[in-house]
Amino acid sequence: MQKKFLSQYEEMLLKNLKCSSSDSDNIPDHVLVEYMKKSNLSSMEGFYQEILDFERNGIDNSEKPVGFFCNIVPEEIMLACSLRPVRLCCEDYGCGSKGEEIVPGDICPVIKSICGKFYSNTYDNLEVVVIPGTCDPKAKLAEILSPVKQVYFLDIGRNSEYLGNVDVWEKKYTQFFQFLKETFHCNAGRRQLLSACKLTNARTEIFRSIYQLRAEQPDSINVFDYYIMMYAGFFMKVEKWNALAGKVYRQAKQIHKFVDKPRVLLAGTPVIFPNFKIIDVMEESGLKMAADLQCISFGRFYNPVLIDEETEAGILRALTLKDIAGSMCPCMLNLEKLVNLMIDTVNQYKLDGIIYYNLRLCQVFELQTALIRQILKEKGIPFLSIKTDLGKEDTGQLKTRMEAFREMIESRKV
Amino acid sequence: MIRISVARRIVQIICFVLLVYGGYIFKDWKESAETSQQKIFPTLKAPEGSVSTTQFEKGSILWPSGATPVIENYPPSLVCRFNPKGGMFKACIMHFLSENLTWQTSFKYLLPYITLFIALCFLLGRVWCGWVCPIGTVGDFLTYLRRKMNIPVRRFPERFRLNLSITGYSLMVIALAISTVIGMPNYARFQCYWFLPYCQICPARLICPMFGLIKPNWKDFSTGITTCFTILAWIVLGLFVAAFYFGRRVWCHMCVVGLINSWFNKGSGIELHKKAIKCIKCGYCADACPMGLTAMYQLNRDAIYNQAGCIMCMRCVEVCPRKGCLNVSFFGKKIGNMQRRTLDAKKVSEPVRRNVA
Ligand code: SF4
Ligand code: SF4
Ligand code: SF4
Ligand code: SF4
Repeated sequence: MQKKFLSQYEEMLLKNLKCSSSDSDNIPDHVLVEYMKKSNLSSMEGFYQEILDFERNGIDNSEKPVGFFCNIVPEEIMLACSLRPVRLCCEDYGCGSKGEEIVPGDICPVIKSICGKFYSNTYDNLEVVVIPGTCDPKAKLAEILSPVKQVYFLDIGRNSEYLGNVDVWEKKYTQFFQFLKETFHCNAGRRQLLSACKLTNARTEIFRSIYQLRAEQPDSINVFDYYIMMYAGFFMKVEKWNALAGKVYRQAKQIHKFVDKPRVLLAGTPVIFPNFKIIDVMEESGLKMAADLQCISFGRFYNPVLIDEETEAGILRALTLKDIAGSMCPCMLNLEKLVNLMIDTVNQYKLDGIIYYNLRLCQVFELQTALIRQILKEKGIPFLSIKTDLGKEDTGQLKTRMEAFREMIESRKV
Repeated sequence: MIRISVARRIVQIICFVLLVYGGYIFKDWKESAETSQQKIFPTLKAPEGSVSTTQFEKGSILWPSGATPVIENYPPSLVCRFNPKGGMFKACIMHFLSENLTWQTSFKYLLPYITLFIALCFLLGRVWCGWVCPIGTVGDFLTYLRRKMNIPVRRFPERFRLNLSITGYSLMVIALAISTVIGMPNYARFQCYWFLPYCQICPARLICPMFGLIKPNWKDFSTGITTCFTILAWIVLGLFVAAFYFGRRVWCHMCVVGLINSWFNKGSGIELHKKAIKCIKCGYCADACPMGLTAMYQLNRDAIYNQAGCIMCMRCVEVCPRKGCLNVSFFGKKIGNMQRRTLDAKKVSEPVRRNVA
């Protein structure tokens, strides 16, 4: 089993490292209520309620919760061990500035928020947090969080277009499964894994329906509701999410709302509640987010687990293929398929353009922008790259750029 | 629509029953079938002084192969001569070649048979392997058992599979050479031991009779040659079971009939297509391929990806999570949506898109 990082210095670190915690840590209700008002679906209420509960009470302790980051960490394995996977990716401005007491200000905003949360004891309930070695700050995060939490570091090879890596991933997943079984003294095996996969496949099915519906009629479920659903998926039980999302889909299907506005594809950094700035601005400037290729939604839910070998090893292998080989994460080497996917989605749903969203200070998304822009230019697909941070200062400027983009699209159409 | 793998299982089971138990099922048709066939297909008979399968007695390795099948023909699968009651078809192509090389049958009598064989190959390629071959079905059953017992699959490297094919080709060449040599008048006395050398070591010879509850001839230690053949047959049978039990269809890399079949795979009526832009390189297709092929994963342009090794099981098409990425066509006509049904996004009622040009 993995050894604890920094175990020799744990006490020293714990004594001195702390973030101030205050009551204003949680996202105030009124932010949520504002988006709730914009919703045109009564069935969405369930999701808003879940998030309100979560923000107020934290992770409920009924099942053993395990925190994780990124799609690379296989939820199915945790579900099979009857644990409650809670995705912790967080883009909270308040927590971000708190984290700066521990990590420098000019690094990844997600890491900052996470440090802020962990060092102010927000996540006391979690027993274990699983951190994948996707990007460099994430890898370091495993050490930074080690003094306050039991950390499991999931190391992976990053070339996702090389089949030889599958064996490596399979081994890593097997070790992870082993770790969970030992830590939580559970006796999961093939059958448990299979039923976990069934659960997530049902989720995929619902998500695909919603994705298709939105691609054709973006206003049937508005963009805020959509991302609220994705955010609720971070911590909700899968069965519950499936049931609620199914209800939303059935209700939304009845609504035929046509908008004569440009429909665009949103790619890049994930939009995580409460950092809805980019979609706020998009809506205001008259662009409709019809499809997305982000890791919290498309990346996480779109691919099913397709099991060929129904043995324990076979299932773990299928999971690696879904989570790592098929991933759109910019930390991996997979730009070709990401561009393919962008072009294909635009063609398939007859979208008008692509907005590529960079959260400032995340290098991996930024690094590939120039390449993507060049290819899409050749293909004649309108492309706008936006770079911004968690603050609200540049909203006006963003709006101007998006409006210009909209006008460009509209003039192309005529 | 029914899932491909389920459809394939059903077809496999039906074909298995027909091909193996055809001799029982169509017992009464045999005669009428025989007479009508003779108009098109000439009867192939052993010449004076040559050995033929009908004369082998219980106790010799080539027993029981004398029974008449329903149809005296040779489809491109491992349809064995040793099926109970003669089975549905006469035998596999390897049997046909060896037998007639020994008998020195004139080519003009063979032509109708060969033409039909090649036509069938062109029609379906190795669909004969993936969907029809009863021995492939037996192998898939072994694989099914392994999965139920939670034993992980062994994946063999490319190099190993290549060696298997080379072994298969070598066996084929040796067997056909022996058959030719013993056909020569000078060597005719060897025929009683060396007749149908490939059949003597073929695992189907031991497996097929058992489905009719006939005990095949497991051993014949009467002479040195038969002892050698007996032991070789055991080794090959062991390889066969191991190949299907630990890997998936590993045997099919070295099966001679499969190898002959594979020459026609590239130009056959069934074609597999890839649309590269849809591919997200998830690798499900390569992982699910029972023959361990990766061309459909590697391809970076729109193309047909029929490969010699492919048994056309279409598992790759089924597991691909991207709709429209991998497709099957039959003589240029695309065969519907073969993807797993559950992955289709639900049809949105009235998908009117006014803002789409
Ligand atoms: S024993 Fe093998 S080679 Fe001979 S007829 Fe049967 S399948 Fe063909
Ligand atoms: S290659 Fe396999 S499936 Fe094809 S004929 Fe040979 S044993 Fe049957
Ligand atoms: S399964 Fe489909 S999407 Fe995945 S690698 Fe194969 S062809 Fe590409
Ligand atoms: S390439 Fe596809 S159809 Fe051919 S054997 Fe492999 S999985 Fe089956």
